[in-house]
Amino acid sequence: MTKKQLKTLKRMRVASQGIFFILFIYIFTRSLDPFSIAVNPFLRFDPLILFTHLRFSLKIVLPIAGMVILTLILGRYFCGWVCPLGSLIDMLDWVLKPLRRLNAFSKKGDAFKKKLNNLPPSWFILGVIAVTLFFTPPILQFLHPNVWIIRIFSLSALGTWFLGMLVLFSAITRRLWCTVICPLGALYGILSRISLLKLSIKDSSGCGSCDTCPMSASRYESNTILSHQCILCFDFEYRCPALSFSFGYRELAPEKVTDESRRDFLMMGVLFAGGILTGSLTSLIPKHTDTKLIRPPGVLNETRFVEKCLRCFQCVRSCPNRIIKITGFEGGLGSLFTPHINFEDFGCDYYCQVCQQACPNFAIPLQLLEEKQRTKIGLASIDKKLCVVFAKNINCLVCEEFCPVPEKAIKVTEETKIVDGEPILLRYPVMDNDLCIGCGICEVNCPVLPERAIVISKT
Amino acid sequence: MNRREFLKAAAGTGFYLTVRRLFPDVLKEEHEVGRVRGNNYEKAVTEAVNLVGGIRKYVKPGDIVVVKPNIAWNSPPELKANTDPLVVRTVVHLCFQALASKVYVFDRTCNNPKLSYVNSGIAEAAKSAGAKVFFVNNVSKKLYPTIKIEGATFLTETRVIRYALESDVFINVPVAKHHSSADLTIGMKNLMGITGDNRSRWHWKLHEAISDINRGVKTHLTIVDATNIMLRNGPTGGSRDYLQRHDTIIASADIVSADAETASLFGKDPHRIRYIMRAHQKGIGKIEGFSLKTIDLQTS
Repeated sequence: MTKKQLKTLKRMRVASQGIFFILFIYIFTRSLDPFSIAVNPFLRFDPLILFTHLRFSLKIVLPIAGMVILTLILGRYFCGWVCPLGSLIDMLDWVLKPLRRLNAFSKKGDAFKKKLNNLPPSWFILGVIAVTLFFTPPILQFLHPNVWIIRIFSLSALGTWFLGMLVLFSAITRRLWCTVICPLGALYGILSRISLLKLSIKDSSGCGSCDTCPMSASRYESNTILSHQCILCFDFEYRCPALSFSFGYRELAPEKVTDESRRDFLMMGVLFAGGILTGSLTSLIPKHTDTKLIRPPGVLNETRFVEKCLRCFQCVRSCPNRIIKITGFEGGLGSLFTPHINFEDFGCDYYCQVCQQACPNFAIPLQLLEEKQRTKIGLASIDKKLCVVFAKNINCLVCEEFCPVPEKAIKVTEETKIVDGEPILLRYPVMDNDLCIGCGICEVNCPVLPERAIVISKT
Repeated sequence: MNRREFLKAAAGTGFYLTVRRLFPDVLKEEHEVGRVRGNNYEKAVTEAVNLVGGIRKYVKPGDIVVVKPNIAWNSPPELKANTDPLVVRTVVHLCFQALASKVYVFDRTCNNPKLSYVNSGIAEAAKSAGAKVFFVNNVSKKLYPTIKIEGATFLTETRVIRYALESDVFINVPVAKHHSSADLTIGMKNLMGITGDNRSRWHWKLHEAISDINRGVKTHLTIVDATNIMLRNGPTGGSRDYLQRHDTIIASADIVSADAETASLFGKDPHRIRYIMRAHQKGIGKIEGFSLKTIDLQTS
């Protein structure tokens, strides 16, 4: 291919990255507005996340199948052309270029990456994930690139920590995350080994300019390109003095099977199988699902929720009342970083289901509004020692007034009582546990402070 | 009829027409409470305001007007937990007809402010008529100065939103609903939306609190949306079964009279609703003995 063609390909790649990155930011900002909620397509249409979905529909499966087929044709295009985290890493790499030149450690980092990326640990990770998708503890949730970029953009402490890690990686060598760790990249890499179109290198001049490959995928010594690492970025190919790169149909003749490639293939299988074994072993860790955490509306099965929840914090960010909080270590290791509801400033709004709409993989099931309005989040209970009507003979009934259930889950019983010689008609609130959905609006508005007289607890 | 009588009559008619032309407000029919029934809400609101003297009596050119609807709940307009957006829009429109310089529309909501404003349809309706719509997310000392209420029995001091105190005209546009603790929520109860206090605490002496806040803050005009009144499970409602269609708008400069007249729509004696009675006793307005004019636009 000519220099000009290769240069155009690079420009197209950069443009595509820019478009998808801006698209990502646009969709992310929209997810903060409860009136124009948009599901993040980078999370919903993902071959790895697909298996965590609770609901399968053609609308979701078909785009993912399209992406897989595109990978089988083009190769690992997603990482170089689409992935927003990849674009962010590219940007960091570009910014930190002078730093990499200065520090002596980056040479070692390059060598380390080059050594690892033939048989990257990401395959092991992929093996672990392949099993743990169906059990707790969840592994995918902490290693998926698109989940991480949302955490970075939602300015969470976890995301900031990860951004710091990326900066550190960039200071050492380019795209370290993508070559060595990313499980999504590993999946696309495996698929792209048998892709129709491939980048190939022929008659290399041995000048070594290919060493600038961000993924360390090109090997000029043996005139080969590691197709499972090549992300089609065309970053440096146009600079090749011998013009030895070309992108096109792979040769239909079978590749030479050498001892080395056979050993590599075997090792790859061993890595993947080792991952599967390790993942299976983690399922022996006992599960703690008897937490008292109140989950977002619609979550009925705690075990399933902890398994499926991506911890992407989309529900936390999109909730208009800001009542969904991130769980720390208090809920056990299993529910680390999962969302829970904290009734402090607001209750869960009766006509709102934004968290259900924002959840990319239906871990918070998307219900009809009527269905959501009948689903129990928790259950309210009145503490008769604190409630002023019972304890101090003062008429109050704020909880009944605020109850959004049309039939009122808090009923009123009237009784005339003689207080200080005067008869007073006292109106007592009484819970109807069948109607109560545990939305927490009564708890938030209860005038008894600091401990409320009516409190929501998990059923 | 002889010539003298004819001339007398002609001169009288001429004088009447001239006066009506030159001073339109002098000879206009004016009542203390106007009650208009009609399914064209825009027309009904306009007629009701005309019965109590017309909007120009209340809003002078250049005035800053506060229109305070009930936007307490995140509830769709068809369930009538909030004021009808069309009624709010018409009131804002009338204010601008009377050359108001600015019209503010706000409420302190019970549910999420943004959701309530948008889902009630009031934010869009009021904006479309040209009003400035804002919602209160946090109650700051600057926005809610403290006022002292003289002759108060419960609320001697309370915090009230600046706009309600500093505006030239304060128009209250409540919706008529059943209320579990206060019996009915109409105009006076609607004023709870202008305070920055912990309103839940007021429920411990609710009737005194409602009459006190009405003593502290004067409303110039009350326009009650009684188009579909909520008979049960108020103030949130949540079902069309609780609603009764009346297609009625009640307007009055006297907030107590407006509430008393609306209470009769529910078939209740206003004397037995304690906060209306207390307000009458505290001298805020007349519970009875006001002049009432009723118009039915559908028959006439």
